[in-house]
Amino acid sequence: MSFYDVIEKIDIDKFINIVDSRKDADVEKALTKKEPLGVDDFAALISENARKHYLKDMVNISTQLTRRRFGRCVNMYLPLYLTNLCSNKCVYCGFSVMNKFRRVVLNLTQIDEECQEISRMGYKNILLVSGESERRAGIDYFKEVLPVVKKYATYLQMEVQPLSVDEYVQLKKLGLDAVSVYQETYHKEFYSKVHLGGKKADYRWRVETPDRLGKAGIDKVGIGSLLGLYDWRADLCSTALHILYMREHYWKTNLSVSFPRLRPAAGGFEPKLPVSDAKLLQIICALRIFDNELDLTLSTRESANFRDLILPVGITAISAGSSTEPGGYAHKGENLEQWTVNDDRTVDEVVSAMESCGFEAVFQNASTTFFSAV
Amino acid sequence: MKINYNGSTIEIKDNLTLHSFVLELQLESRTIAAAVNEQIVPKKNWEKFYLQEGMTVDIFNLVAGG
Amino acid sequence: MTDKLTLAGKSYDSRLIIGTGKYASGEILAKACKESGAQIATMAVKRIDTKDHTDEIVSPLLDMGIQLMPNTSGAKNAKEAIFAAQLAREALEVDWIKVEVHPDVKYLLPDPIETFKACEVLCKDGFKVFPYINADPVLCKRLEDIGVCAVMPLGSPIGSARGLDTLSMLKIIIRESHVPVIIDAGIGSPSDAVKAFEIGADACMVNTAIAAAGDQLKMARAFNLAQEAGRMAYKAGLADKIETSRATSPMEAFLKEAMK
Repeated sequence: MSFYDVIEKIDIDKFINIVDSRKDADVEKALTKKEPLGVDDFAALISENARKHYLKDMVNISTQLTRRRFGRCVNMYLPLYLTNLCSNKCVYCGFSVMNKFRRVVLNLTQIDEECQEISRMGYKNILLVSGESERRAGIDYFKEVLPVVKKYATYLQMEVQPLSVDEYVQLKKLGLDAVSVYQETYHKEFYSKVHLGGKKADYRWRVETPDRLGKAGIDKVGIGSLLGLYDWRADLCSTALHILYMREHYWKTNLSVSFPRLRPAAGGFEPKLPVSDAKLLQIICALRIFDNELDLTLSTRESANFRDLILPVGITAISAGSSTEPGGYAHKGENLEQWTVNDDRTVDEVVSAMESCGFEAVFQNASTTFFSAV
Repeated sequence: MKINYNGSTIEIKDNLTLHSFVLELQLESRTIAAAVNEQIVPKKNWEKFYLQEGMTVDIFNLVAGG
Repeated sequence: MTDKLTLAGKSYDSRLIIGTGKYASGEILAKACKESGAQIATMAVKRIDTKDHTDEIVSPLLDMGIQLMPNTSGAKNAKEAIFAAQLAREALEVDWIKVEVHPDVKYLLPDPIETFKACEVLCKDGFKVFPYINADPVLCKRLEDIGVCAVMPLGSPIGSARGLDTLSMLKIIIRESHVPVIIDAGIGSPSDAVKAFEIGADACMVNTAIAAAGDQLKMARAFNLAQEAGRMAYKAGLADKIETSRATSPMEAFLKEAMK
């Protein structure tokens, strides 16, 4: 059994109507319910009526819930792009195999160089990102990379191609703590229209990844959809369903959710239904209220002003001073970025802004693994 | 021959089956289970189970309590 | 639409489970059971004492159609609990077993380690296992993972009648559990039972509160009404208000536009 068995039975377009038909009474019910919330409650929280009549309440409630659960601590992580080599044909991504640019796969020396720079910036929580290339950056590559990065990171995350249970188990032994795999869109038919080639075209393999991560015992799993790619109402409700599924089947696994908004990339893809700032704020509140324990991550895709505004409302992890090009910390500007960074403040500037609002930037995250491979 | 029954040593006749033993104690109508040398003997085997010298027989009942 | 209790694949109208200890006679026990409406009762396995002519309790309960749930009380460790379970199954031809192991003689608090060990063996051996444990949410999930039919966390120590001392833990257990939650021990009054149901318990077990009451039959009836009221309140949904507080100025300005 996997989440695929759940989602393939559903016509997620039905969620669109459910969201649009939610009334004030539905929103109030979702906001005052004592029992666990369902997808219909989540739909109410992301509805237009919720935005128009309850957003202020939602901001308050979300802020309180986050404070109670996480205090004033926000985790700082930094992405380290290992490669921009990708064998997939995703129409919305700068790294698509269809785009012509210099492809790079960092070697261990270059990775070590990047890590040194990352350490100088103060980071100990590193997110390894790569394009998807089984051939040149597959499990064997990762098994070599992890020990190098682990020298500098106390918390190690990855956002790479979906791997098998066994491969995750191997990486866990090398110190892997968390893995993010975003479904981009849960709409099976639309998914096949925007993922034209490569292993990523396999909807089922991708959507079953969180299950495999749960089975491998990875400490934290990150899920989410690319907002603006398809209809965010359908995709967010599907994400809510995925959250419920993961909580039900993998009670020992932490969950993190991200809400990347489609940004300009070399491919030039325009969002079908853009998500406004107001809507994104509402979505963050909705997620926090829907599941109090979620880790909510905000990247530098969003502008400085907007990040400062919404951080207190529900965010538990952010990056700052990020680069989305391989080798971008030691040698900026030599390679293609996956997407353009919006908040380009330095990490010190971001930490300063946080501290002036009474928040503590946490760099040191103890690793979750007690035993590491010799 | 001598056997140990529910903590006491008692004398029983030779070639006695567990089934007959239970009948002699007039326990046949109760909801009971029997263990010999700490191994439960299923009811269906009582008629074929012959008690031997030195065996420890324990009989248990369901009672009010918990 | 009915709201039945489902345990080990069987459905019951009553959400009350009766413990049989401390009753003076089997006849009174049967009457109290009838008044309480309970359809499930627990009883112990003990070495037979032919000199003791205590009333037989099993047949009167069976005649009433009561589901028997034998328990392993008296067991001090997993080995004894497993043995008791096997004896009960052999004697009653019922595969339900409430695993209770309390070596602690002062509070009769359950031993989590011996209980878990016993449950592991008994689940594998095909028993329908109902562990009696302290209100420990993680222990409940661990037991759920090995295949128990329900969890039975205590409200407060056996016979203490202190009600739901473990309330906050019980709420967590109820929220996270995928198996029925039966709150057991310490239910001293019908209001404790109502509370148990209001917070979402699937069932509630009562023994001392009825057995030691002044008028046992009236108390049994009171508990019958309590389980009905509590469950009904839970299904009806208790009302609540939205709590609000002030937002920061930049947020207020943002919200003004955002809510247009």
